[in-house]
Amino acid sequence: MEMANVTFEYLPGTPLAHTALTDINLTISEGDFIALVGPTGSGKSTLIQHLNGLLTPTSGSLSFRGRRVGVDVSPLELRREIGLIFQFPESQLFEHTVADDIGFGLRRQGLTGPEVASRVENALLQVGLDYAHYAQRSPFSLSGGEQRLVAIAGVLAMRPRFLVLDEPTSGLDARGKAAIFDCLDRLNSDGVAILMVTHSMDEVAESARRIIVLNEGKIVLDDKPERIFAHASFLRGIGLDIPKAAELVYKLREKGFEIELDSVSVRSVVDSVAAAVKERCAN
Amino acid sequence: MIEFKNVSFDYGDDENKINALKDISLTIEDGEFVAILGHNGSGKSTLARLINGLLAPSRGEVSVDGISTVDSSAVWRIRQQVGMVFQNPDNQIIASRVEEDVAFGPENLGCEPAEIRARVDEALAVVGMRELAHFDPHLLSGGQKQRVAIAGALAMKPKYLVFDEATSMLDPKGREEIVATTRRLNSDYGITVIFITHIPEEAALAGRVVVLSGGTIAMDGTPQAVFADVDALADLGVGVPKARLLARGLEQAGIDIPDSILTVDDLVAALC
Repeated sequence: MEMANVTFEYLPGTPLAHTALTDINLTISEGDFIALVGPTGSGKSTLIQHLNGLLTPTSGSLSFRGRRVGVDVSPLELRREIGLIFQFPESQLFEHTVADDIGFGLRRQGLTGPEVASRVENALLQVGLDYAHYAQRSPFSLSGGEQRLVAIAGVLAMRPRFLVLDEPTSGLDARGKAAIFDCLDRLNSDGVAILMVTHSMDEVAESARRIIVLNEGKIVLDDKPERIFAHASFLRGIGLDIPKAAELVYKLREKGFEIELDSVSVRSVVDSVAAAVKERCAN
Repeated sequence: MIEFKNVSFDYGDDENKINALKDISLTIEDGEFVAILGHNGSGKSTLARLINGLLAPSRGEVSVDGISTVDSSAVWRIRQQVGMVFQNPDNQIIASRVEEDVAFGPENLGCEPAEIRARVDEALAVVGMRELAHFDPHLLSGGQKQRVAIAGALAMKPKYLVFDEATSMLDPKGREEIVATTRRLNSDYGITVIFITHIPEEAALAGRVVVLSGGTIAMDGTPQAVFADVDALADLGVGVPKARLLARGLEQAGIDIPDSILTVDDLVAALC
């Protein structure tokens, strides 16, 4: 997916006109795991709605696999390849059973019986829910975390190659969050590209391999996590946090510790900090 | 004082009974700041709704200042004493101007107009929203709307405030606003706060943390004591502050660190 010089204006030509995105250039490749972060109102939701054709740019263009969106490929075709999962997607569950809910999109596409059943089973497997246990239950009898997974399964059943998620873990408990990340990691290792919008920098630190920072409708940083968080004071200035693990490293450096930072996950920061502390004690 | 004596609560009828709370006994003293943690479905919200009589216990008794919540002659007094702030700010705001929304409670208490004016102004000042008194609530950020909801509860002059995951739909800035506001209400105004959350960092700021699991109280103590056992909490489906995880990792790597670490600053101090 490629965005070239994309600018988007809400209500152009009216007194309420507001430019939400300015000159966005972005390439998303197969297998990417991207976190899109930015303060409230920075344009994150506007950007992701472009990715499956819900919004079309005021100027600039998008292309998917080299084909121009809206010219060579219709938004409808795009939506078959790119799954978009909104915030609190469980609020869109409506069918009597989990299996019917997940199969709804497939039946709308004209698929029938055995094909629907096998895709539903596979989608449940992908989100880590047991088919025999869940398929015939009402989605409304499930916990919040399970409902969220069922809603995600409904999108996965369409077999997207690129999944876009808006705040997929908000409101979930620790177990529910872990289940979502296990699912995303599995999909990503099967080659599905992931782009998720999140406010939780600690989550970003554990999962994403690339971070895009939006501020006032512009991309201000686009890099690997360990490099992004080197801009700690800039990020704080625009109202973003940095992960606790990175914060520890920076605060220890201020105290004179020499610590390398090649990832901002808890595990790798623990290793680097332990090594630095031991070396300091040895001297 | 809020007291739960052997309280159980069942949802549903006899055939499909869900036992949401099982024989809970809990005392919350005046002036406390108690955080309640627990996995989804652990009974947190049921517990919150029992405090002000929105739900009545199936067995046992809940009392506020010695008055049972099932005493129908006292339930309005209890609801005035116990304010609630829920998860979604949009579901709690009913008026088209901030100050009118905050006035809704005292109007229904039958207060005199001058008294209503005074209560609204004070409540908005406490949450730092005085300047936006004439705003339309839908133009506010999530954190600001949630502060309006808090002001609405404050205008009832409550002794107790219950926050049921009041930060979970907010961004980090909104969350900070709410946490700071609740701490100020507790320390400067003496309001007893019961703060239900999924976020361990928020619970760590409380004086006391109660962990619910499967409808029973699994842990009850200071944040330092409760968060010391990372594995036990993981089994209960509850996370710990990230700084605590980092500390534990370092401990396992052979570095001597106390198990009372809750913030990055604690950790930096312990390492230097």
